[in-house]
Amino acid sequence: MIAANKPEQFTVRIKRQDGRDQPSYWQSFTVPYTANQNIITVLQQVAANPVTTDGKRVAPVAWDCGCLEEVCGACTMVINGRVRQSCSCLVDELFTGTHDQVITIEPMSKFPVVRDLFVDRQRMFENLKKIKGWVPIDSTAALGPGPKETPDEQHERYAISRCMTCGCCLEACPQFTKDNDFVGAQVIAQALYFNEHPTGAELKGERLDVLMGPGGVTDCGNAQNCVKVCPKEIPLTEAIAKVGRQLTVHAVKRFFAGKR
Amino acid sequence: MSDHHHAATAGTGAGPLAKHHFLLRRLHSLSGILPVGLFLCMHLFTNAQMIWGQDAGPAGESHFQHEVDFIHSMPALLFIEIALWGSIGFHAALGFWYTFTGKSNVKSYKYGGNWRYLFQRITGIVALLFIFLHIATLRWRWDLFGWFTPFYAHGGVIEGEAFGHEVKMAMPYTAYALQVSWLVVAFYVVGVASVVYHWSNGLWTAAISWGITTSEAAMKRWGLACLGLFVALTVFWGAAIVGALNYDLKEDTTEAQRAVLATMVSKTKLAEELWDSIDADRREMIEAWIEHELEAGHD
Amino acid sequence: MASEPRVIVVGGGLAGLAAAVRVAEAGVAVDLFSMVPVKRSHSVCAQGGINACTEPVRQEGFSEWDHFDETLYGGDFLNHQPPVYEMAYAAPKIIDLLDRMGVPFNRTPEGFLDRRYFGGSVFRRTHYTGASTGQQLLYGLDEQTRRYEAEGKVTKYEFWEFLWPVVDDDGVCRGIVAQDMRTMEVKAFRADAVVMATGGCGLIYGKSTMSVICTGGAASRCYQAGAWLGNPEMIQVHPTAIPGEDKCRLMSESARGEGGRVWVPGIKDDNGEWTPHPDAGRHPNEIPEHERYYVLEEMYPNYGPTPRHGNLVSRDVATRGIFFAVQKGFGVGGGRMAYLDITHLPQDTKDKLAAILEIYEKFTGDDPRDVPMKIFPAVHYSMGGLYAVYETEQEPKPKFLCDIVPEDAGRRKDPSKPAHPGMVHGSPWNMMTNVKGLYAFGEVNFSYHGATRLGANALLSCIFDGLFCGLGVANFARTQAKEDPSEGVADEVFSRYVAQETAKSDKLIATVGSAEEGVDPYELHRKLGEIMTDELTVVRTQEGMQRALSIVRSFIEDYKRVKLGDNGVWTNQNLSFTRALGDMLIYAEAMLLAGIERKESRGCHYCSDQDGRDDEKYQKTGVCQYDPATGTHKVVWEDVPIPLIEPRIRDYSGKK
Repeated sequence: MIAANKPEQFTVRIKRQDGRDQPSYWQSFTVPYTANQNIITVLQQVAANPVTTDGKRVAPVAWDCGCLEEVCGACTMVINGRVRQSCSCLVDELFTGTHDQVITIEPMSKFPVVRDLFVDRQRMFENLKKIKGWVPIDSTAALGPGPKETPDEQHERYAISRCMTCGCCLEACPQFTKDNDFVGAQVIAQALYFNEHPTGAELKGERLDVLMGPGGVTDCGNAQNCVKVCPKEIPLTEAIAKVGRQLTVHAVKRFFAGKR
Repeated sequence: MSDHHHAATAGTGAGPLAKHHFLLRRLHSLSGILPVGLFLCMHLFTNAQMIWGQDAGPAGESHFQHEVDFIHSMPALLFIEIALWGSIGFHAALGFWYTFTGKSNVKSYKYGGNWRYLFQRITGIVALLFIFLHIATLRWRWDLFGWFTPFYAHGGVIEGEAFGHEVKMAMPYTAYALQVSWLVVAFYVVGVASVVYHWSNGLWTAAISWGITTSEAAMKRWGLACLGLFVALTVFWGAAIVGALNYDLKEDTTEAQRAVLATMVSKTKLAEELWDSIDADRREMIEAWIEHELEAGHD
Repeated sequence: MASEPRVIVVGGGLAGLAAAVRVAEAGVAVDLFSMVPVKRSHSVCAQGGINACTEPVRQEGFSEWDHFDETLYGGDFLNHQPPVYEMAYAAPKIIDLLDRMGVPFNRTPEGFLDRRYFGGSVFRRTHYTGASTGQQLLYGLDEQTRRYEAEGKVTKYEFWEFLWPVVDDDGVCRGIVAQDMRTMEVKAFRADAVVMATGGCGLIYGKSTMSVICTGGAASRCYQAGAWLGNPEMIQVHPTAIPGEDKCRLMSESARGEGGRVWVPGIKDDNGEWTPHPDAGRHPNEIPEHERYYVLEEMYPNYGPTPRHGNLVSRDVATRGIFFAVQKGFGVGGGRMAYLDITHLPQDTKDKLAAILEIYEKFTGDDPRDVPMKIFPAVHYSMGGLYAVYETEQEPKPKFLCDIVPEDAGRRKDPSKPAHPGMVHGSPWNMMTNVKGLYAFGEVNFSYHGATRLGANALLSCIFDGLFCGLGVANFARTQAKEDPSEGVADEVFSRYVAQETAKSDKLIATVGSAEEGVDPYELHRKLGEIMTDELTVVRTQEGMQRALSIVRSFIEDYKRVKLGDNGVWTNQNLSFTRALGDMLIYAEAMLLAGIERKESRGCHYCSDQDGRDDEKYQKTGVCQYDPATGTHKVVWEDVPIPLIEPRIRDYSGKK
């Protein structure tokens, strides 16, 4: 897949920030075009020669990455205005037409920037704690096999368990902002994942109680960007609806039979 | 790492709003769908009757008038009104607040769903403004800029010696109001379209929020149904507007209707024309009667 | 002075998380350090599955003993037998546990755990979740860790980089020095036991299938601080990966386990001999069946129940098969590539492989469901690593170079029963390095895989280390906290190491903007990767390794003039990388030295200038010891005990 008009070199505009709570600024770099280049390679080329287009030598760009094969979820960035994994973002895909295109790379806007393209997504992990995102096993002792599961049930849970906490769904979500407390599609889907497991369902009530509260499922605005940008094509909107159903049932049950 | 605290995590917050977060959200959804939505359907169905125009004859009867009379014949109408206002007020207040918890990003993410999300919020605000002015002018009879004439007339409006019978004004008033200025038409088109969009899209999203449509395919199917509803309601209000604009105030009206119109509305050019179309000798009598009515403190 | 016991676990992959969970479960507080959020650890990249002799496999004629045996056989008998024995017998229980944790294993129509074929075995004994098993297992353990974290029993230090083990004057590990990679704060942490679960060292090869964090830096730092290495030259080259500019992306063995076939274009003459096809650059779908040379199937026709099982020979063997074919000119388009073909498989099988097929499609633009994948071997796993010991009931006890296992070990033996052939459960000595209180779990532990690791054994060994040996760590920490707690160690011991590490980074930072022309760390790393890939991968020679050694030594000199480009006070990755590069160079030197001294061919250590395996001389662990004063390494040979299975010649050409 070689772009029709592949340039010999191109410009990358990178939004930078020297540290937490510091002002951001843009810098441009000229990068040679190579075959099968992805954004990680582009950033590596910038790191190898951190000289801006105006010839100024600057500190290399900091960014987060891990596996480079789109399973670890580390390298999420906003590339040409759209959030995605930078490892699986091929430069050829971005050059769809003219020669002198510019690639812009920004850090995710919904999480605090630590430096340059490197952000702190701790909020996602904290939320997993809030919804008790685990199966409450007795212990690690050998206690025999787990509950049986049909292939269909496995299929449904497997789709969600591929969530790599990359944060794309949250970055693209208009309801998830830096200063509100919405949990977003990631955690809602994870709650479903655990609720659907027979042992995990032990904590279903507690999870739903949390998701009924402020920042819970009801704060979803159904823009459905999440499912569009999810690199793992997790059926996030279905998960939101299914948890919505669980909440409805939970609320009715609690209304008529709840003890508190 | 435990040394990082983020205020922004779920399940936090206190106070009654936080405590009843879920209930409020669901009531918000419910208040939009049921009272307001059902009333909307009925209202637009009623208005659509204008497309049939008005029967000739002294009484000025129309299908539209018939429906209007039916509504006004309902007992405890005031309570229904109060319930509706309450629902709208509740839905609007929470909706307004919820709107500003998010931040649209259609510039970067130009997906259909994202546009619908944005429209839902815009139409919500437009609808709120529209409904307020709609009620203010019609119910409370605010007179805005002259052209914004109150065009709702309850039941049989005028019962007096002048004509000896009830004058059915529902159709002429409405038609007059829409014909007096294109701004009114524009205002109604934008306003009602917003309301209808807001309700049918709200029905679609509510089905997800409540967990009724839980698969992509179901969401798509229900989306088509909501689209159908949107189209149907749009046909209804479209018919109403077409009916009102096609209504010939000079030809299709009775003299009594023209007389009431010309005297009750502000002095616009159209009002003057209508006045002129009444026999000169009868004008004096009508004027005298109106003066008498006004002195009697009749509304 | 007694205190509450604390354990530090360095690394948040499968081994680290399993250890954290096990230690926390035993009631001992855990501080968990990881360079990345633990959910992003490299274990996430494992794809194919996890081996275990569960009940249905048993009923197909397999046994735990078979699993044990084929692991040793695959590893060319360089593995330590008691730990492997214990692991093979624990495997079905581990599968059950993971199943209970909610790991979404693929299911049979009736709802039981599904299995697939995998390399090095003719039995279907590999349990899997799609083609992203490592990810699912890691998440399962991550969730359990989060549970303990929520309960306050595990404290996570994510984005913290391990810099140095704190070893006191008596040679006991008392904690670590680590750096917050956001604020750059350097700090010492006390612990009564430290578990290194820091994974492999693929980055020494520049491009490998490993994540960018797998520098081997942590292992190298322990090595420089006095811990020993075992068999560092044993590096697995995976047969099938997509070569790339930034890394080589793994194409799981599950592709072959599910029936995928490896072939290259060729012409067969009347004698059945294959020669390269002159038009090897044609579109693969245009190449007729008779011009497809199924390299591994032709080389190993009798391995397994069908000839196609030839694709499933042990990894080093498969890698050499592909490598030599390409060397002979059979490569796709004459280049360094072969085809991995799954296009003929039924749709539901392709669905099971979706995770890896998507990766291939995203990174190459070709849909592997329709077009055969272009692959080439790539560096994948470190069998060698930190040297560690263990306790058994066996007589005679394994003799170790270090005396970390005390004389009275084995005391738990029940005299009424025959000796247990595996490790003693709960023994504090299990997988302790030669530094008291410092453990090595997972890939960084050299014990399990010998000279080649079988596919789907890595996940198992990592989890097994954490769960089985974790109890020993808790026991050790409890005893230490009672008798000789870390809390009682003078502050000076810790501040000394903080000063050492601060000085090291200050020195590197000071090179920023200096007038001298320095050495670019990225360039030096690229060159290191090249020479290591050339001389210490698929085919090795004395001459080549010597050449590489002298070059690496010159790099060590060059490194002294290394120059940084970043003096930022937040997330200075330039510093972190350059510091790790220095440690990688020393580790690379040890790898080459051990490789040079092992004058035989064994497993992945295939030397074209040696005549096969030499059990007489090298049925031994090459233990590397480092002298920081002189910067020199020493390789000492230690017998690999053979209490259970006598080594035999490895041969995949006939039925096993």
